[in-house]
Amino acid sequence: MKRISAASARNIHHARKGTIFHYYMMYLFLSSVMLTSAGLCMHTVLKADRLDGEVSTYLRSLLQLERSLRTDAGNAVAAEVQANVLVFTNSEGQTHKWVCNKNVVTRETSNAEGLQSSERFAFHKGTQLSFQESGSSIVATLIEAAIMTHTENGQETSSTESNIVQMILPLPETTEGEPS
Amino acid sequence: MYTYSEKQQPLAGSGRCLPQRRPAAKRHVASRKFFCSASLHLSRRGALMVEMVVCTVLLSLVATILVPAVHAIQRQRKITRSETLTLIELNNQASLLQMSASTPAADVKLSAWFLQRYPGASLQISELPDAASSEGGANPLRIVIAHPAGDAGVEFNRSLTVWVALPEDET
Repeated sequence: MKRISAASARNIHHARKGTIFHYYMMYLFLSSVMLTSAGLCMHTVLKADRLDGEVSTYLRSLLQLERSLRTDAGNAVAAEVQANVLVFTNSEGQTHKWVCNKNVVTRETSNAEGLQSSERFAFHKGTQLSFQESGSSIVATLIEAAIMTHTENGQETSSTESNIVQMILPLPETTEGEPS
Repeated sequence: MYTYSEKQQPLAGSGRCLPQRRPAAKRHVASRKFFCSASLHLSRRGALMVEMVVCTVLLSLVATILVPAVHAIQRQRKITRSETLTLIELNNQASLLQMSASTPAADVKLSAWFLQRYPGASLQISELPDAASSEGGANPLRIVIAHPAGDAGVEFNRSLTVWVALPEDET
């Protein structure tokens, strides 16, 4: 067997020092790449999950709001339309008052005895709802917050025209309020 | 590790030869030298390439699993949104039909806000073929909103049947 002298072993040892350092640098680099990728993956999944939850909640609130508005409008015999306030009165003397305050819409049900119930629809910050009388109908226009709006390409859009959701409600015969 | 010398002593009584062992200090130094040289040359050779390949394979595996999953979540969100908005638009069309029963079905069209969101969407209103389904002077109408699968859009086809009161001359 070939023997290695002490001098040559020392030379090898010294020669390999830098190489080992490079190995460590490469280990660190590869490890950081792996950790960064893992972090990005986790971040992407968690962000997608969070956004999905927010959008689901928003859509559920929107559907519930629409259902309540249509029910109130269908049962109403009189309506009072203002930009931020909509009041329906049904045949039993109950009034449903819809009040928009920034991103929160409140539905208050009251009768001759006073306030019976109150319901709140809270949307994401930046959402706006307004009411308008248009011909023989009431149009409830909801402008979505930018964070909730994505184009079909997945890009967020700054245009407000594509953030609009309109609900057309039948107008009762007796109507008070601002003409459109 | 043993270092064999050419001189070997016969084992007493057996006739076999055992290697002659070196003193402990020399043996330790020799083995260390051997390991330093041999292990560095042999065990480290190609190790970096193997690690890089393993890293690449792992990253590719993760990306292969994750990218379709995220796309699926995004697509599901789009579908849910489109279904909700389509339902609202169907209810809008039903309200418009019920408010103006005399309006011919051919004149109705999708709302501007819905067309801005889904430019390729189309609206069809047709009477149900079963005339016997008319009840109490109400005519059943089927409202269909369809959207073809575009470049990045979602495909949907939703319908709603409403009973619209017929005009007095038709009842």
